[in-house]
Amino acid sequence: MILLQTLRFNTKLGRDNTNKTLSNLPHQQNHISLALTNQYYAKLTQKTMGNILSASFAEECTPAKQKYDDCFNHWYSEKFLKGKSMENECEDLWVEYQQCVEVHLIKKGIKPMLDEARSDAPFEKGGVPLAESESKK
Amino acid sequence: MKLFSSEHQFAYPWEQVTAANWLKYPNEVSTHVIGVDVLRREVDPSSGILTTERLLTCEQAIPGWLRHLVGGASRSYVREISLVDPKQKTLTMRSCNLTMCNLLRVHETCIYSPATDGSSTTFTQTAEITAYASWKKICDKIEDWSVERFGQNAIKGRTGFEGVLQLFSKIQEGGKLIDEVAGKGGKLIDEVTDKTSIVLSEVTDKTSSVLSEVTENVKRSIFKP
Repeated sequence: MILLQTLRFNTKLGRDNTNKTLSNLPHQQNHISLALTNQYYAKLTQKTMGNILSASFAEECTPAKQKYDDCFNHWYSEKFLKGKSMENECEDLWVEYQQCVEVHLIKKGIKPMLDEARSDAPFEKGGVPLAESESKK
Repeated sequence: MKLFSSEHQFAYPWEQVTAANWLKYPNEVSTHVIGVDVLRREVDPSSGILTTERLLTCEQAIPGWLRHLVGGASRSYVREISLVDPKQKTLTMRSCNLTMCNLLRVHETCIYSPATDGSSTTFTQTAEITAYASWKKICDKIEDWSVERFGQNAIKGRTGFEGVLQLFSKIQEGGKLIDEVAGKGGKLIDEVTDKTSIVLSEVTDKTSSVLSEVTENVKRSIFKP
């Protein structure tokens, strides 16, 4: 309990320092540069939270996952949301990350549960359970 | 079957909320979510909808009576499918637990869409919670516990996400300054740009060193025999 409070206090302290410094910059209204935000935000969270919370369900996959995530976040903000691209521009990083994921889904015994869930609520149906989508027809 | 539902408004535009959604974890409040992985991701060329399948890994203690029913595991997995429709401006997320499936199913649906004012985002969250046990009394007990647990985690999720959005927004304001200033060109502008970058870097480093220190303390305490 005390640890958690210490953590929260120091996180708040860190955030207050960030807010104080950033609020000295002139206030601007429009949203731009989500990509730049991602860059700083990713740096901040990697440094701070990366040690406490592991990013991937399998720690061996975390480096590949973070590289892919960086690429995806940039593509999402700068290309997808702006209607500039619908292609997977992070293909190589994705493949490397997925190869690791596949191996560990099996190693950790998650694959059978996942397969069953996928047949109950397919990806192609947006995750709507089949039973539900049938009764709505 | 028990139902949970709640509504909330985030004071940020929809685009920003959906971008921050991918960065929701880790956050300092939702400490039970320890991993997030993408399993599949596709854009439908006709509708333009981005569909993503994710695996969330959670570590959260469960009460003793429930532990006896499920065999003691505190590690659980959730499968989430999200759809981002950039034309309709909706982000729909549907998830269900993978673990403990024979005993309890929690189907959650979250929808983010722009509020009527255009600069904030409404968030609606519903969950259908169903327990499968031989005796109704046990079913009720499991469902009641689950609704309570779900509600607590939902509050954590909202609070944690607010924190993420706030930091995201502040960094964005600083980033805009760098962009605008850099665009004008000139040595003086470059100096200002550098200085702002340095300020942001220093802030980043300062914040992260404070939190790194705390991380070490937490780790030491957790791993103390």
